[in-house]
Amino acid sequence: MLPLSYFNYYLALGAVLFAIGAVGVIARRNALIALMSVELMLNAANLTLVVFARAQHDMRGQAVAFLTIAVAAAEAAVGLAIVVGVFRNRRSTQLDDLTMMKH
Amino acid sequence: MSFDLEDLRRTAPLLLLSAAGLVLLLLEAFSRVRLIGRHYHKKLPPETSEAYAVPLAGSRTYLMPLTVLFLAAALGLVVWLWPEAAEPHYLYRRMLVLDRFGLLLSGVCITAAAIGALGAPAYLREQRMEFGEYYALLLLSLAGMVMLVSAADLVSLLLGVETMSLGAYVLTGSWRRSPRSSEAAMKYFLMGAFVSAILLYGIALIYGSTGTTELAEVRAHLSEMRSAPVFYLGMFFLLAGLAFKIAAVPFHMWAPDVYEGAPTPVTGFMMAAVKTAAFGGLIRLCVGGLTSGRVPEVSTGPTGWVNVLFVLSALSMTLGNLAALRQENIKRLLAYSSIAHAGYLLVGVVALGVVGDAARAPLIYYLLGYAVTVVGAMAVVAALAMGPGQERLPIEQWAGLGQRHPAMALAMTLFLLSLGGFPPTAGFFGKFYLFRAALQNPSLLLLVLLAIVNSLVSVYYYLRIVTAMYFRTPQEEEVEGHVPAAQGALRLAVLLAALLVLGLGVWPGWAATVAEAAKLAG
Amino acid sequence: MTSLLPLLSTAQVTPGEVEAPLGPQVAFWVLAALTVVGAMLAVTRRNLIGAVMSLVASFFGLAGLYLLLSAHFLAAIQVLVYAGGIMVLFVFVVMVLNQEEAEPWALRHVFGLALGVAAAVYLAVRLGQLLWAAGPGGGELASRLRIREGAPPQGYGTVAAIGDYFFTEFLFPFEAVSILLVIAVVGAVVLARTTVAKATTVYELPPGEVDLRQPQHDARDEVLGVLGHHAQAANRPGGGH
Repeated sequence: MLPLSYFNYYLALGAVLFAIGAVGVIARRNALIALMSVELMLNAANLTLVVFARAQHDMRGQAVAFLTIAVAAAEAAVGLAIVVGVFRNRRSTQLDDLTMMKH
Repeated sequence: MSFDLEDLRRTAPLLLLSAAGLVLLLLEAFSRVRLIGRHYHKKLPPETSEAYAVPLAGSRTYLMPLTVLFLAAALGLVVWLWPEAAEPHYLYRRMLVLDRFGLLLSGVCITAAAIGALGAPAYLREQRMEFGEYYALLLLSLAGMVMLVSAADLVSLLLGVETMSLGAYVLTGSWRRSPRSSEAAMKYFLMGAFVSAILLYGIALIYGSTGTTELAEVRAHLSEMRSAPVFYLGMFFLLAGLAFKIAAVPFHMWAPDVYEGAPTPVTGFMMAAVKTAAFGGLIRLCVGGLTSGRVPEVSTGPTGWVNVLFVLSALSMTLGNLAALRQENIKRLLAYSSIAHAGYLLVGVVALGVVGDAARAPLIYYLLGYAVTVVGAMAVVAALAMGPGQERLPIEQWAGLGQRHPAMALAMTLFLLSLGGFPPTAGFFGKFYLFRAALQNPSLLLLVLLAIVNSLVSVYYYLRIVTAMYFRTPQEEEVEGHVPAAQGALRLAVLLAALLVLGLGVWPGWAATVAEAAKLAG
Repeated sequence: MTSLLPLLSTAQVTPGEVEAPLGPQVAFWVLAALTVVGAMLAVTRRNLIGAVMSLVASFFGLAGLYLLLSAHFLAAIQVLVYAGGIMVLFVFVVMVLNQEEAEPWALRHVFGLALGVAAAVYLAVRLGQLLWAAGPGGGELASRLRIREGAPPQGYGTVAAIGDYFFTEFLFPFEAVSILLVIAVVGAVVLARTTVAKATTVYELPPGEVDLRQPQHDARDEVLGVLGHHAQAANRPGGGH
């Protein structure tokens, strides 16, 4: 099981994953990759929750992590549907092409 | 039993809204097949196509009245629970709380949604995007809002935000033939999902530092947290997440595009109901979870939430107004105006942290006034659409409307005056009431002054539309199409909103009394 | 999965400075490396399928970490729902859209990109530092974070414990999430539905414009056919018959 001396390694790992995901959303121009990066960020948050739950011997963090998976699934479904909708109008999933409303 | 059966009764509006959403979904599913089948086999000659099209388009006309009926019933339940909510009741293991604050804000969201729904079919039919799921999604999204404004735990706050937002993403993108709509949905969704991840990370950090997600418990632990960086980081992430939902600068980038690209009734719904609910969540978080008399530094300290929101408020109203000055497109203009209003409303939240409960009633009053005003304004924009895909968006197209559509122009003038803060409208009294409450603490003088200067600046762009309507002649002869303005329900929606805006402004007393009674739990 | 558990759970935790047993130690570093490398690849790959697969690998790594953290049921769900469900949805969409590989970072965004990466590195470092300080080595802070030494209570993280928690403490979120899922399902259908023949229709119009007066392709119009078109013509001034 978790050696508690590893507690901060886990948290730092969560932070690193969160940051990688944030870079992906900000820097990648492909909507699908951006969406995947969001999933990564959600997972980083989940890991943090589970670590805190384990450190406190509390179930709540784990339960929230389950809910997050449901939320992530819902977001993925809607997000992919939106990507498909945009693709149908534009033939592209590049975020740079979303320039109709720039003024 | 893991919860009290009473809890079901006390969440009646939430249950009704979710059940109504499902009922509408089923009705839509069954009605379409039957009606199309019947009409298809009739094989009417082309001359009767007009008559033919009407029953088909009208085949689902009962969905809107039904939706409004459900919303009225939900509003009735809110009123029914009102006496009971004088004392806060915690529900479902302290996940939700029934108090008058949550009830009143639920009522505001439901009212705004009802007015918006009344006006929606005319526009949706005109834009050929009428579909029954629209109302179901509206109701389910509204259920998320009710969850959000009565959240007593960060988990229900998160679920409320997500339920509300997912509904809003879908409604934004539901005009599938318009690339603007799907583009808006894409932007809204990506940024929204990014921000929900930040929100969730914030919840994880708060949970890690306090050992709980329950707002009242978080507050009880504040004294141990006064210098914990993890806790503060979690707090900032949570504030960022909610600031995104209320479209406060610098988390506003999505708002102009989304408000422009979304179908107009949806824009009205988002500006009014989503913003109200997000403010409800923000107040719950800040006042219910992060304010404790024993630990003032979490709220009013140098890194407390008051300072954060102070900055967001100043930025939102200034940048929102400056950007609105340059807009030529009415939906974009109102979008930036909505960002500016988020700034004014944040003055109220800041005041809640500094002067305390005295700022609560003015803030609620302002939210109510703003919600009915924008929903009305968007109903007018929807009413004046000029045919499929032809919305009346550039301001020059509003020239001469004072003669052509006098009633709509008058209503729009009223809404714009209310947004600008002229007496005797809801907007004027809301601003007056809010700023007076904020001034109880001299440290907010600067912010209030900035808000007043901003309100004066904003008058310019609101009046630009009014002068265009009354004092400019249209450049070209307008083709008299079938303007949705002729639809009775849409007129009723505009009339209702106008009456509320006027009523709130002329007799502010009753609403102020109700807002005064709307106490926050805890 | 269960056969791994005895190996991983041999860790004996004693307060203070502990030398973690080798098994979990190795497992942690391997899984952490898998997770981070997978995540990095997912974010930087040009090839979308490659990116999705890297992310799946990353999520498998996370599932392993959940096992180490005594979240057994969560680990199973992570594999089943996340790696197995959500990511399959991604693969499906990637293949349906069949997009060419895109430049991962466009050159004109170099400034924004540099800013983004710098911000993210800063975020990672600060966040890492902060959370690092929060650990047991962080002294006073650690006590604030109420870290409990020792093994978790019996049954922690099992299906039974999770089930119990969800039907008592978390009953409301458990039910509320169903509203969210209904919205997601209905919303996905609303946004993505089309008639089969129209999936490849492209409107060749000037950028920024779409002619909504074109015969609209919609399930209803399929049925309406010519008649609906007439109805529109009749509404137009000068139209009709």
